[in-house]
Amino acid sequence: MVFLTYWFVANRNLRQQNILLLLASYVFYGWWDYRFLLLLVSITIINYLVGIWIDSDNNHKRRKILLIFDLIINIGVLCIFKYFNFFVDSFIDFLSIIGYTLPKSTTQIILPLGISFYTFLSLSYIIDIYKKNLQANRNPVEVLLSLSFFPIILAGPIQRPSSLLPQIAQKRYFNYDKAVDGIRQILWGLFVKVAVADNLAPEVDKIFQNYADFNSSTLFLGIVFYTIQIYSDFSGYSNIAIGTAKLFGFNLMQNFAYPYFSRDITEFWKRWHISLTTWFRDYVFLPISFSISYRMRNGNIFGIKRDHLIYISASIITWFLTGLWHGPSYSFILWGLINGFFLIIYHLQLKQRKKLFKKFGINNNNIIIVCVETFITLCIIMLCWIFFRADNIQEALFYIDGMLTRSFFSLPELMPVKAIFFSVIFIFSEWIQREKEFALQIDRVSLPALRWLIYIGCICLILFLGGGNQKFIYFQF
Amino acid sequence: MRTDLRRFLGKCLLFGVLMVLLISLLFKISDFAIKQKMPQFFKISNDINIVFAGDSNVECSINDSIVKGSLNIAQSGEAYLYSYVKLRELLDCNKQIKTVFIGFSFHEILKEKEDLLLFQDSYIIEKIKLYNYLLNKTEKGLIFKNNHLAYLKGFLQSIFNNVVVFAKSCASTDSRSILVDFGGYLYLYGNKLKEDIRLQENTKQESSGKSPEKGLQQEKYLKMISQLCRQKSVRLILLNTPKHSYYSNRITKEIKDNWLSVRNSLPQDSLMELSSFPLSDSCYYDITHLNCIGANLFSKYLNEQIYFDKTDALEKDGD
Repeated sequence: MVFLTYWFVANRNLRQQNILLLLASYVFYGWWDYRFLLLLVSITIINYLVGIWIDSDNNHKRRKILLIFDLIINIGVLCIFKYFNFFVDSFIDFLSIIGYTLPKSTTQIILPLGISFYTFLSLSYIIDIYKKNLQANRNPVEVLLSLSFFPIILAGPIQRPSSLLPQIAQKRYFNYDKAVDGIRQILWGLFVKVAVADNLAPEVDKIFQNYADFNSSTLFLGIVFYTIQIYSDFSGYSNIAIGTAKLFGFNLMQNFAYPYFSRDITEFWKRWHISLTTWFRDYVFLPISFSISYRMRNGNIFGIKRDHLIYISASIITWFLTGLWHGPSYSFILWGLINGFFLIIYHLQLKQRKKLFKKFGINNNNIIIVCVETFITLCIIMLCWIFFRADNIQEALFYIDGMLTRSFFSLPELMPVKAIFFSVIFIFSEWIQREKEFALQIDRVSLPALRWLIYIGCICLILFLGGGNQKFIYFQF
Repeated sequence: MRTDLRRFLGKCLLFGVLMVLLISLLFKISDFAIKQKMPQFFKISNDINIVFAGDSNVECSINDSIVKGSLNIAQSGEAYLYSYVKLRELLDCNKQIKTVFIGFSFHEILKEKEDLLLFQDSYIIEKIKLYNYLLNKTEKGLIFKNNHLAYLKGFLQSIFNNVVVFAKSCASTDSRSILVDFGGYLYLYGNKLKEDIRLQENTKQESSGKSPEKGLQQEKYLKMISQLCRQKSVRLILLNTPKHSYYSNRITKEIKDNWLSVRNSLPQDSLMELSSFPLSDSCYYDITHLNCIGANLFSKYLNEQIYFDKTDALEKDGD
């Protein structure tokens, strides 16, 4: 309905197009819970106003105060809604360790959908203006739309206003090829979400909830399934969001670039949830690195090279925050830190590795080396996912312990045919289409009838064999 | 731009129409095919003359390899409507069946349970997927009227399920291997009794305030099962399977009164009230389900009772 109104009724001028999209975004968000719509509108209006104030003020001190004020508002709201219970419970736990016992907090704050995503959009808007990378837009509709555009509001991609605003400020014209590509991307997103992720979800839940009852190979199968599930679930949503935006004439950034085919952990994080990792790189990692480097003297410190020390410190802080961004729990924080640890290890061994390869005359692109490294990277990622999926750290450790027994070499106790079938189809399609933006981009199939057959096949698999009603995993963040 | 837009919408429309036609065609073919094969795969061994139907309580309690000449077709989350349509088909194709046991636990007749089993998304999708071909227009209408989206989802999934059942029936003549999703004894290993009791304790306050209401559809279809059995000259026995004392103690007088009033409306059928059947904690998986140890003991007991025909005596004890 919005699509038809957008192109048939509101296509006369830019203002109409933007107003319609803003209204659609608010209706879409308010549909989940109208109370949180007020929060979204308030935050975006505050950011709009602060953006103008910072931009129009030349006094550095005042600009800084305004920036800090805005950061407090945005991060404060995020902390209250997302981390309040966690901080209070952690504080009570800490007090109990030193001998003071307080009753557990009974206040449970409901998490507004997509709060982490739109807070990050707002933060990047204000920081970019402060750094003079972006001029504050005076048009309220355009700014509010860039901070609450409905395809990206719930679970990203975190499309920064600096790249979205110029598109919003220009009138969109219908483009047939773009619309076809968009609808194809939506179809692929639906396929990986409904047919792949939702069929894997019950198996993963069964294994993780009863991990003590299963043998090692089943637990291993469980984590393999979860590795595919979380990717298909989240990339599915991203594809739907990007495809929907294309239907309205927008280009959003690619959020996943076949991450499981990465050779090393650094490459993985360049291909996984790209919008979030680049956000953390630009607004946390690099500023921290620069800040530390200004304060640190040259030479070795505690026997560690200065550059390495800067990298290690910035990585630890960034990955601690990345873990915390995903949720208020110690297991997420540990998941982030483990990823940071492997990234540091990878960074530290790079030079030695190069020397070693040169010494023994090993070609870096040797197929065996590539395969072994890809496999090791995948194992590391799967290990990390155990902490991400488990309810707490203790459970994750028990899960790993349960996985490392002799029964690892026996047959799994579960063999869900449907889940395995869809996993294989998914991985295979991703592999053969890895040069494309998404796997269903089948322009090179010249026969239109064959292309339609593939689309019909996808829809039939979704309709006839799709899994149950499962929420998107990343909606909780 | 307009031409492009029209071309795009035209193609989308054409694609949509094609999809609807294709789905309708696939449904018609699969439905026709499965109905042709139904008498064949619903015909079970002539040695089987006892059938156990119901929900997960019966599914986990009766090991039909222990009870001589019996078949367990009970399935988790099964409302009486689905038990009815399964029995209707099974009794039609198997004149040798003389006794039907139907699960009749205290909670089974509650409105709360009915809303869950009959009208909740996940249950509808799963059951319609499996049993759509067994339902008539009225039965389909009932579900569709209450939750049309879930029904449609289940309906679409039933197409593939029909194809699978049909393919199996072409490859095999053994009804047990064809009707793998038709229910059957569920072997539960382990014991989660303590965890379940802890969970119940935590939710105690939430559930205690509600006054129990009778589920009208559940009652209606239970009566229809009774009627069906009478028409086919089959003896129907209402079976209240063993429950842990924690569960029994929490059954309120109102729930029991509801249960009794339904039972009393079926005077021609027997009742086996075995909810307080003496079993140790190690025999339970949770407070309402037996694990394999409990199922073994209970099935042996039932086997003896059936073949010494003491069911009437038991009913008196229970009442």
